[in-house]
Amino acid sequence: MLERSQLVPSAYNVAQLSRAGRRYVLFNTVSTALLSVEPSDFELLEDVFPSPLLEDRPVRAPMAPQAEDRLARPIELPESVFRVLRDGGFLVPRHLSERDYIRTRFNLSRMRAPARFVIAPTLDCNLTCFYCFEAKTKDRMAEEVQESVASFVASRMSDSPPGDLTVEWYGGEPLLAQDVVRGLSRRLQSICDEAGSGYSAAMVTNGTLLSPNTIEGLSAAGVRSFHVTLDGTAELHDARRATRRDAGDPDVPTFDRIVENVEAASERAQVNVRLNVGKSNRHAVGAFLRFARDRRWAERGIEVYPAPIFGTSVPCMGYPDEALPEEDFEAVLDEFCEAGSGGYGASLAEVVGFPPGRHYTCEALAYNSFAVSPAGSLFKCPLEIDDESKAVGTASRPLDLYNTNLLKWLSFDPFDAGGCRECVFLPLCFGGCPKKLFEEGERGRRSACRFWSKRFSGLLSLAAKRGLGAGAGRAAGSAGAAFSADRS
Amino acid sequence: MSVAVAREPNRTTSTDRPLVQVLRKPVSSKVDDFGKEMRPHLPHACCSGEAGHCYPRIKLRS
Repeated sequence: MLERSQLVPSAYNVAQLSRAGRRYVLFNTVSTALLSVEPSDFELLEDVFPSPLLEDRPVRAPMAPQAEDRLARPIELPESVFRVLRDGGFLVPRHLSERDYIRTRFNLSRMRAPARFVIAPTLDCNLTCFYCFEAKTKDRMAEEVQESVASFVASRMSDSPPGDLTVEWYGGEPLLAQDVVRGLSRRLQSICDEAGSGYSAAMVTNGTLLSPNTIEGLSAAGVRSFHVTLDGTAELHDARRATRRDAGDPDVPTFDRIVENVEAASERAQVNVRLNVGKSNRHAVGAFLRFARDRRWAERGIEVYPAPIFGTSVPCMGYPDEALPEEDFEAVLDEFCEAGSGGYGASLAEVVGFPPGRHYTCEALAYNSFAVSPAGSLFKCPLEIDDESKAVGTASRPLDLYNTNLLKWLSFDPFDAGGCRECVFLPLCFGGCPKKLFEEGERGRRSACRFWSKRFSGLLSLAAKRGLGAGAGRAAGSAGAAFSADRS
Repeated sequence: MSVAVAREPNRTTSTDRPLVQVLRKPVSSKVDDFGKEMRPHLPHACCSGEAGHCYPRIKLRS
């Protein structure tokens, strides 16, 4: 155990004074430990938390101090407080490069993570969402491709540390290829049984075909959660997302059917409803929130969250006017937060994912995570699944680092970029979406900065309230390492 | 996890109130733990772009 003289304050410590001035929240963006202290006691800690923030103020990405700027003299703290700060990662070894520590943790974690797969049994779809980013084809995953995919999954599982297999069914609309979902699920479940691993699956679906019978079959196939998208309330949704003209049953409104299916599915599985928000339906967010309240979705466990429509590929670039500017989406998030504070009957807007439960940005960066197209091509980012030029390999052949797409993802390193290098948010955001960074460079990075600068203060407050609300002796956040704190 | 508190031994207040309250434990720094947890969500949230996958998601709850 290191002595006081060997420890210095972490460069990633953050303190924030609550709006009412009653409490400081202390947070470390590397260890994600969270403490609370009263203002009268905070002066003891000022050496360790030199520039406290104020709640509700945007944070201009504070810079982590250089090692040479760190406190040179021994830390003067009561022993019990010293131990809490040391064990929480607020004090670190004097000669530790914290950035090297985060970078190594980032790389080890993504290289050692058990296998995960996103599988598109077809890219076909029965809806006509005018902003869709995918090029549609009628192709379905052939039997021999399913065999290759199952073998590839088995090889990835044996190549990674033991762990449960997680699969996400994706598309197109995966329920247009239910036989593929069922058949391949059986193969994958059998592989897991032989390996002694658990198996679970989720599905992204437009919900139109998610009938009670289908849900039952999917339950047997290990599907435990569904992610369904809507574009607003009935009139607006149906105007934007009717069935395709070339489908057997064209121009049929879908909203009522989807809502019925969502509610039925919520009896048997976790259901998340994503509200797609673009410029032309931005005005209707409030009406949708009222609809969700009236249907008591929050109480029924149906999670509702907003998502911006944004340009990401050639097909959807044809609709640049629909992409929602980031500042407009920020306003949508505000509207959700406001609704959560009581305006629409929900008692709380909950933040999922803060403090973030991750050591790397995105599952696409994990060595043994892949998205698989109906043809058996492998991708890292599912948003690229219809573009063969972005493939990182194929399920029927061994992975090859001469594939420059694969090399690009596996060698991704956000730690030395100018704007991120000294940023205290780096261990939380890792530079933002890798795809955005690849494609947009500095502009992509700035969008991550905007989010964290604006939202960090509020997120920290919510996390603290949640922790304080848990009370003594109850759970307060996700478990990390064993943490000794002096109770004397 | 229990909420642990650290108390200053010499504190003289009558309430003996906690000095520092631990609301969330740190994540592990042990190499063997890397990769087992602290993983990003699967890309279902990626469809939600910046709101879901790369950043925390704000949802309504009861």
